[in-house]
Amino acid sequence: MSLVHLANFSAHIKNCTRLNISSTSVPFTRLHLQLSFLLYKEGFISSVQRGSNAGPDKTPAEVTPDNISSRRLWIGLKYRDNLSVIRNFSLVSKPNRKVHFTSTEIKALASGIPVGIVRPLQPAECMFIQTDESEILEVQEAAKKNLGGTVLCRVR
Amino acid sequence: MGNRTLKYGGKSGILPKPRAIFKSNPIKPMTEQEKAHHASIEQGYADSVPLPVKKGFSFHRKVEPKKVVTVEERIRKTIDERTPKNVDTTQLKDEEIWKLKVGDIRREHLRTAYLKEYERLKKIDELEAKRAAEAKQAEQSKQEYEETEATKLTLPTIESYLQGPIMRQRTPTEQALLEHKRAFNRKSRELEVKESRAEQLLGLYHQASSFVTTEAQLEKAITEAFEIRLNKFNLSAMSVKDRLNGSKDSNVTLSENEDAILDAAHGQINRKPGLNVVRDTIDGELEKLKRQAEIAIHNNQY
Repeated sequence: MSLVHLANFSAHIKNCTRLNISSTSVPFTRLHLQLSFLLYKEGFISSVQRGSNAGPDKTPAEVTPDNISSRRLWIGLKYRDNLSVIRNFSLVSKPNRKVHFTSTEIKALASGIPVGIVRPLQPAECMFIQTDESEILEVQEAAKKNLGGTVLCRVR
Repeated sequence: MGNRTLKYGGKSGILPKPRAIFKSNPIKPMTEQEKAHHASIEQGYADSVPLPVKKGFSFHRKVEPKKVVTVEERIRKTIDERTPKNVDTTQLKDEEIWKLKVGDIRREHLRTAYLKEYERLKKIDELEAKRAAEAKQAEQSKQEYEETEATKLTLPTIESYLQGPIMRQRTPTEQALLEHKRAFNRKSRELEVKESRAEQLLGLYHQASSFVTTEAQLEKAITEAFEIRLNKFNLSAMSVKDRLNGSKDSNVTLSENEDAILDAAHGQINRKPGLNVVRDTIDGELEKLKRQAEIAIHNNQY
């Protein structure tokens, strides 16, 4: 997983929300799929669909080495009262400064306490953690599962 | 306050730890945990150390576990079996009767003490077992985490994408097909290059007939260019000049285009036999065709 790709993803989503675009597409990768899934689960986006450069798939298509370059993940952005639901989307770990927390620190973070350089979690804010098994989880879920890991990004 | 109380933190009146009643022999066999703990303690004589020899003693390399004596057995051996039996109290003195009574009372007290201690130890064991089970359960529940029913029902599709690999790899058949395709493309490109080179070579060969190679030919060419066909020379010079300037004489362009079209249609190079014709001639294919055509014409005539 690349933090650079994650930064590109967050910047792209922010740019789209500032232009009030209804749906956008990102390359079809595991990272993007995991993050979009979590954003959908937390209610930040309205839909996640597989598709190609042309648009979301009308009939499901298999991903093969022949079509991988044109496969995209289509994300439906959510707005409320003419304002985007995603107000901010920023990285916590940077490519040159990874933030790794133990399960105790994650629990503290989940309960709204500032840990190290990470500012406390605000109401209606989500933070995503990459566990040691390369699984991406929301901070509350990671705290429930008693897991530690790298703090990737925060969304509100 | 004297020094004697210092070991009790300077406090007097603290009773010493009660003596363990079942110290010499355990009342129940060791549990698995106790056995594991016992095994983890490094004790006994090392292999390199010889066992000591002492008259009347037997030494073991490893510490032998103590013999288990249950509470019932202990009561039977120390109380029941030692109770004086068939005593005729009428023949005894008052002191002896009193002693017997005192003995009975002491035995009863001992029995009660054994039973009470047994109950106490049992309670402690039960409490410890309960605590260990609770701690185990807590640790297990910490590890276990299950999603809610609502989450399970609403988000199965995207999660299923994340289960396996993102992309399906090519099957061996597809891979083989792709390799064939690539090889074909490479070879066809190579053939194209070779053919164009051959064509260029043939064009050069055709042009070679008009090349000036001897002095006499040079004289002749100069005379022809500057004295006999002066107009053609001027026309050529002008067309070269036009080309350099970027503009072209339409007549010249037209004739060039016509030549190119004719060449392409007949497979020729500068109105001379093209590569295919030459190849067929060399192979004898053209001759064969000609003969077949002649035979066909001959057959049709008769």
